[in-house]
Amino acid sequence: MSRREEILSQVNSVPSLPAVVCRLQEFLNDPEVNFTELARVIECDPGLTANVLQLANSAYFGWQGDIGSVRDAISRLGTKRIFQMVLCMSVAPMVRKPIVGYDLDANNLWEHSVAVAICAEKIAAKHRPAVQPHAFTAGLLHDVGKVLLGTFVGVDVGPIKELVELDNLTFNEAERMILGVDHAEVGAHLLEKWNLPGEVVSVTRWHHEPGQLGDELRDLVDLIHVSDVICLDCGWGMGSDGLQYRLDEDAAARLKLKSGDADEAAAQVMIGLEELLQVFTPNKEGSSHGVQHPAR
Amino acid sequence: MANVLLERKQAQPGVRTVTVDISDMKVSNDPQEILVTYSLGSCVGLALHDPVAGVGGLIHCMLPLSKIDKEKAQLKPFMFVDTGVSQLLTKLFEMGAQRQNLVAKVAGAGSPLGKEETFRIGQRNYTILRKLLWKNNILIKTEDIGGSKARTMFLYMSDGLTTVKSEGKEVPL
Repeated sequence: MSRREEILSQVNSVPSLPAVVCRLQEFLNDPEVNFTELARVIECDPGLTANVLQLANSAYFGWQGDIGSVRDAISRLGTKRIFQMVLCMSVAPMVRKPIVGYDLDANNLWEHSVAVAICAEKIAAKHRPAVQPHAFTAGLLHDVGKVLLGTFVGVDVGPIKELVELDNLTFNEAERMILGVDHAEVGAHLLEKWNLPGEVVSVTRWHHEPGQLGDELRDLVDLIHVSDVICLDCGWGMGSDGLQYRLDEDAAARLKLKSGDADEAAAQVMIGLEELLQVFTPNKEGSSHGVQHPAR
Repeated sequence: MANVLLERKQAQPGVRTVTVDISDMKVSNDPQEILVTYSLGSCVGLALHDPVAGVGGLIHCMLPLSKIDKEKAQLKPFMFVDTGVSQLLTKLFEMGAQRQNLVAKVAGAGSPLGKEETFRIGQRNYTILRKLLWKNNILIKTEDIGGSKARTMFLYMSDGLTTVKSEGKEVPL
């Protein structure tokens, strides 16, 4: 078995997403969705209900303290938002743990994922409103492959870094050279296994090389690519791979982004992250937005 | 060798580590404290220390200029180099620091691989920081900037030693 096959075979050992996520996806595609029925699916899980209500009432979503029931949340925020919230809750336990190979502490990858979700959503709102509904979900999931690949990167981090330095490769190109697969592709396989929408799978696969994806998903992949670079730049989720990625200048140009747009988006992420992470880490002490790293 | 000495320094009884988050600033006059900031990518970390007054501060700024969003600059002044560094200086002067004694050290201002000509967040952060310090008659004594590595910056309040840790190695700046 090749290294690549060995790594990809591990995808099967990753737990499935909770059944409620699949149920909600079915509702998403139903134009005549029944809010009461949808609310009932969520309310079967008291923990999830509490979390959805907390999130719906967070400053980020703009209804501070106003929403009293899941049905209320659905009618005010829409089914897509509710799906994003449930997805957040479901993915969080897998992502909020130390990823040793990338030198990421518990919360680092989580913070990066939420940061990219917010960044993509904010840029989309201004520059590509048509893809805004998918921006948050795709941003949240784009790096999920690191969870699985981290163990393998940990073993071979020396040769990977050597390639980055000597051959001027990006970190994910070096992953491919050494391991036969990079975290973007592993992530795509994982999302496929979770039956997530095809566009989110493809965008995850090519988020470091947006030019590889066809015109149909161009805007979304450009958006996630650029948001990923901005958030890494700003230090959210930066690990042993540092800033060892390349910005595809064409992607930024296609979105008509200038340096001021990146600054504006980053500032919005800073505030949005505080609002959202407070919900996920309500008992966190000593850190204003949950960034806590040991010395690297 | 340097790493062993620094680890010993950090492990001394009574020594406390104070974390400076992204878009955050901390000041101190307590020799038992080590100020530390993690995840410096294109952000800039500035350590200022007055060895005579025993006062120092560390700031982690994410973006160059607050004019991009004045409202957010009010909420998070340390997010921006212009508003953040001005507040750091004001605070240090209030605590007894003297301009002529301040030792300034800078780390970060990195960038992704390749030319990266669109956003240049790191370069712009550094340019504004330099300009601001120059206007305040403060010269940067040492710096570790640019490149694509993640950096962690420490300011040891016991003697003003400033170090940068990257890829597991901590070295004096």
